[in-house]
Amino acid sequence: MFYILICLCNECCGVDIMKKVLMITNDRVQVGPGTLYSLLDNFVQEGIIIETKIEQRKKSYLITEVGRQMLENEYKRLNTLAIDYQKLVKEGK
Amino acid sequence: MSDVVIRLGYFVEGDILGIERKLEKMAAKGLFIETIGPIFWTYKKAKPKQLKYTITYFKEGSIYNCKATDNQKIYFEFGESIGWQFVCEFNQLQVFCSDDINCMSFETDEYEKFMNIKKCTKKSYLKDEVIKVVLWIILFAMQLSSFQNNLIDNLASLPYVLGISCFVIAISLSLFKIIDYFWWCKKASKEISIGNECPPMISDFSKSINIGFRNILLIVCFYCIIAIIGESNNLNVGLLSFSIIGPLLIFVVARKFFKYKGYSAKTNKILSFVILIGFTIVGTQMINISNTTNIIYDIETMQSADYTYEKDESFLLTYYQYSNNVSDIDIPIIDYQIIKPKFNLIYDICVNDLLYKNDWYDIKQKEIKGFNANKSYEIYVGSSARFIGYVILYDDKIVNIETEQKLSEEQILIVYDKLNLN
Repeated sequence: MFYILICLCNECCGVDIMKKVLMITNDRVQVGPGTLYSLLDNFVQEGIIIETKIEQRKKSYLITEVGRQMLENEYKRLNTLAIDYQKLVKEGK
Repeated sequence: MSDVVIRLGYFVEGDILGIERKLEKMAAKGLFIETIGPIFWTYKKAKPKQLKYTITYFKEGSIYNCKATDNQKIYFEFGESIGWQFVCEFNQLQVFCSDDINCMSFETDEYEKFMNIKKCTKKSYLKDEVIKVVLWIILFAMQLSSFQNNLIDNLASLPYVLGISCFVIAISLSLFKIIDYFWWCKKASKEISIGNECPPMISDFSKSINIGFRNILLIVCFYCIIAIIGESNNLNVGLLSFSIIGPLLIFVVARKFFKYKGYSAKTNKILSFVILIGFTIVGTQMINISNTTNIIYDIETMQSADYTYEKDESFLLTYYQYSNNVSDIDIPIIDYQIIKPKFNLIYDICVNDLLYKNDWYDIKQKEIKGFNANKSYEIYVGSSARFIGYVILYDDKIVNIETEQKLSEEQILIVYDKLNLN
């Protein structure tokens, strides 16, 4: 979900999202077509992303303000986790 | 020589893994799936190849769709972009294959996979099973009420007993599927919440139970048809077969016709179901006609001087009916039936039916010496307490004697001897 929303900070179509996720994570994260389709469908219904255009069945999407806020919250959550780990495990405080 | 091979697709709905493995095995033998149907699957012959198959659920997939929806085409394109080629579909099941054995999985998130299957199956699989259960129960109740009207006769009729058994098995199978579905939902939620994979919707155990039930149902149906053929004339067999199979065949043909004509899935569904219901009603009428007017008891018939003897037998009981053909007023008219139940429960049911089914019966238990029975009853009806006969119980048989005059001791001894009741 996190990487899909990152990709959608710029307008992007479904097929490109799969490629983009692989590229930005150096093939570490894979999003299968079935999973991607379900997630995009859910995101649109929940107003996290919107459909921007449809060209020959090719749908493009863009993140909404709600989506950006969710992404920001997730980033903060991950950051807090990283800071806690650094403090508690690496520095042993 | 045709390169298309049609095979029986004996599969359990929801057994995705089983179907995937089967298709891969067939491809390795040089048979590549082309279409999947509820009964027959078609394969195309080609050079054997190692292929990977994956089957997914797509919510807009339907057997009523005349062509793939736009969203479905987008879904196919998503798959194609990473090497999954769409092959065919059956209802919501979408079959893809890939040359690359290490191709990325179609579903990479177990929770999303579970939610997608749940969403799709709620709309089709679960709904279908619930409709089936309701339908089977209604039909079963209808059959049962007509069954009870002539209980002993029907218990002795193999087609009737087997027909009722078919309903019981079908209801049990659908109920099992529904319970198993909810069990799977619970199990899958639990497994995914602890980071495990989404378990297959149909476990090996469920698969065995499903196949077991289905095989029993097929065998019972087969014997039912054989029994119908054994007891009916050809016209009846035709009528009965058509009344059962006909509506389903017409439904399938209608659905395919509307699909071919390009009707929308919704219109197709409505029209096909109207046709199915219409022809089912017609079929039911045909069964009634055949039951009431045409069934000829072509059973062993023995003519004695005065009696016609008929024997009917199922695995529950043997039923002998003797009818008096004499209309001489000097001879008491005696019709009688000998019922030989094969189980204690059936014995009790028959006794209950003979003695207590009719509220207007007045029963008097009376020891009648000449019959040497465990119990014997005299039956009276109406306010005038008109005598109509005897019900006599022995260890292994029940004798129902219909006569309008009470028998004298001498007559009882003759009847006892004639009926071979000792």
